[in-house]
Amino acid sequence: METNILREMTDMGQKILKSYDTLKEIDTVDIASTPKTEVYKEDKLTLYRYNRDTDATYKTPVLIVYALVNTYKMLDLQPDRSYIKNLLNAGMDVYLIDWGYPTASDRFVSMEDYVTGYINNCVDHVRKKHRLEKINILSICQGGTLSVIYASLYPNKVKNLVTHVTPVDFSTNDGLLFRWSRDMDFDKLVEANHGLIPGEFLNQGFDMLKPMMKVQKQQALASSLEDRERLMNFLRMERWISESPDQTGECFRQFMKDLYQKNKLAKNELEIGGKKINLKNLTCPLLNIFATEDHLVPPAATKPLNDLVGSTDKELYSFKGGHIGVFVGSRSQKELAPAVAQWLKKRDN
Amino acid sequence: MKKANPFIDSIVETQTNFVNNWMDSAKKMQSAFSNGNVAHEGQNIYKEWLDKQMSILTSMKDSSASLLNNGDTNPQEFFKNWFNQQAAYSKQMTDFNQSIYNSYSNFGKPAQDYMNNFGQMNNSYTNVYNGWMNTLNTAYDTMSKNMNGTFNKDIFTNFVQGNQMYAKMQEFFAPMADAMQKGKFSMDAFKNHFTAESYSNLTKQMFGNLYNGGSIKEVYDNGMKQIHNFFTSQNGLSKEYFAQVQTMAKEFPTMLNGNATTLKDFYGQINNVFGKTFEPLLKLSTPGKEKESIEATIALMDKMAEYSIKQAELQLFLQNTTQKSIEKVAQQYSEKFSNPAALTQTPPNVQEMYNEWVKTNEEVFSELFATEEFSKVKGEALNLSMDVKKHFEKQFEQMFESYPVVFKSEVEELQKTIYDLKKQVKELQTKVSISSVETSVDEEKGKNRKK
Repeated sequence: METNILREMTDMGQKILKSYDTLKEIDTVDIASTPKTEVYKEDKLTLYRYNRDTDATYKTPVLIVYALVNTYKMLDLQPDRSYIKNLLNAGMDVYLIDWGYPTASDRFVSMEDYVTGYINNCVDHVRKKHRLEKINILSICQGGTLSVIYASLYPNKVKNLVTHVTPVDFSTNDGLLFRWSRDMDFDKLVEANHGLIPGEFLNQGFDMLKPMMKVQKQQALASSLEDRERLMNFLRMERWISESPDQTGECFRQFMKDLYQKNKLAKNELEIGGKKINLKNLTCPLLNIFATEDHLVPPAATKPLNDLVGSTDKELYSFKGGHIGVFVGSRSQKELAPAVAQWLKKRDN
Repeated sequence: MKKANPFIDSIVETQTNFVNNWMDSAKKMQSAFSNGNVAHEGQNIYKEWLDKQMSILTSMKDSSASLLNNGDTNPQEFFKNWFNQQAAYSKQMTDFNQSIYNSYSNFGKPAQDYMNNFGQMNNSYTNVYNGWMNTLNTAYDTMSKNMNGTFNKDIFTNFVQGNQMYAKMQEFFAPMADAMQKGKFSMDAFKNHFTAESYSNLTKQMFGNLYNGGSIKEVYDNGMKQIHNFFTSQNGLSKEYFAQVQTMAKEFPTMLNGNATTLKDFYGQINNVFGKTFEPLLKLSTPGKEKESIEATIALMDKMAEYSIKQAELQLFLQNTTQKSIEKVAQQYSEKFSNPAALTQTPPNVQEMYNEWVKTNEEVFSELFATEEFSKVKGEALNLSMDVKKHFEKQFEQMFESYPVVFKSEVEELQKTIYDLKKQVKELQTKVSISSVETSVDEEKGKNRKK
């Protein structure tokens, strides 16, 4: 046994030295490299239009609304795992909202500002550019929640809505975040952080959902050190996680209190800008995608959307995988984007 | 393992030589025990080992001297750390050799004794192992300063910490694996071998961000100083009472690492001191900014005590689960390898047990996190920590009131005004834009009518 320990001491030291050597050689970890052009800017928000080599084959452009938590770059993690590239290859004209990095001066930016301000202004920009009454919205996670609220307020501007792993019904106990949020005082959290919730705080919470994930990651890294491509895949994901923006206090407060704690959206009791949100006003065609092994947004929080909206053309799509795997997994590249592209094409009249 | 980097090559080669030297000496020591010559040969073996260590170190220093001018690394600081650590490491080697003697003289006794004796030997191995890792970690910390970019540095740091976790697990699984291999494992012996402190240390490794005792103690110490200064300036108003508080302050480390019951008792004592002792004294002291500041400090320390109790409750949940997880793995393997027939199967090695532990940990901690009790305590701890933060910052602002600095609370008022103004401007811009569109449409209609 003593021989084994000694052996492991040298092995471990060598692994660490190897990791140092390899990491020192890597200058940049590139993510979100698909070319795009800035077309609109407002406060910290930037609206991008992705560059196309050929004309789009879809009449209706699509606007991607990502969550406020983490950045959109996971959708374009690397050239061979890029949901955005897949949509472009399918022939779509793709726009994307980059929410940017809120600072202390943004502490009062509310859910109303995001929905009736930023999202609405971006939608109007794209509508004006393409001279269309309505456009498609493709939304992810919390971005989907905001988009659902938007589509209920402005049904005349949304042609088709695609939601991915979007929480709508927060009454479930299936996810730990849903469970834990009930015992937290979000007013205290917002005030004590001066209206800006740190991205690291949210990441710590996410890490606790899978307690041994960090340990398992380090084991995975040890076996990736010899393979530069595998290592780069690992590093790209780590980079995306490390770039989490802070959350504006007022939006965070209302999202957590009214949705997570009081489930107002599902009960049609949510108020945005003095207006009550009635999900029955959402009447556009809806494709609602959920991930079967999603530990962040369990299926029980996503699936009910189809019963709550007023749409007659609606579909529930089950993807076998986790919250992130839906976009970056290898199966996703062949399955998800083509399914979404096909669904939108049928409704592109 | 040769690298492109000669500096790294040098370190790898030296490490390997250290380990080979140690193995060589350990074998000679074992042989001396078996032959009953340890009293005669022990000293010579140790001297020989030490001389070889020194020559390895000297050789590394000499071979690396030419690398000092290599712009690629900054080895000077690295070597300073390295040599200091080697001195500490050498001391641990002497302790280790002594413990080998102790454990071998007790060899052959029942499982409980075996575990105890093995534990002593294993502690020495673990100390050496950890000493080795500390050497490397200190060196790597220096080396990482030369790494490009914060992101790469973070990845490297996380990787080193991940390996430290594995090293920590050696302490738990190594005696178990060895006992199984020799058919001497017993679950009771295993359970008795580990203390609450060992589980606490392991839990800290996994959930470090929930262990912030150091920073709390700092705030507490500063608060105590402030209180002392205040009451001293109030003509020694509280000399006799302050002595009592100082005695209690020595208990503070226990407060941070103790169980919830101990903490609650301690909190009760503090409450008596602050609430019932200092409060009447405060009524006698001169009103003013200083008094307000002290009142704020006492309120802060009150909140901190409450928070520490809650934090200890949370840590207890985690610690108990850590223990549960390790015992579950031990039980699993114990059932598999406790009967003599099982000795024909290949017993597990530490890596296997570690992997099993990781899997089991995920299960038991996920189970814990889903309980209402944990959620409640976690929520309460977070809420209290926000109270402490708010109190602390308020006090901070009061302290620096007379200085020409702008506080966050003042800036927030300004930010609200700016936000409201921006919103009004945007609304007006939208109205103007709609209005000018309507005007153009009307003008167009007007032109068409004229035609």
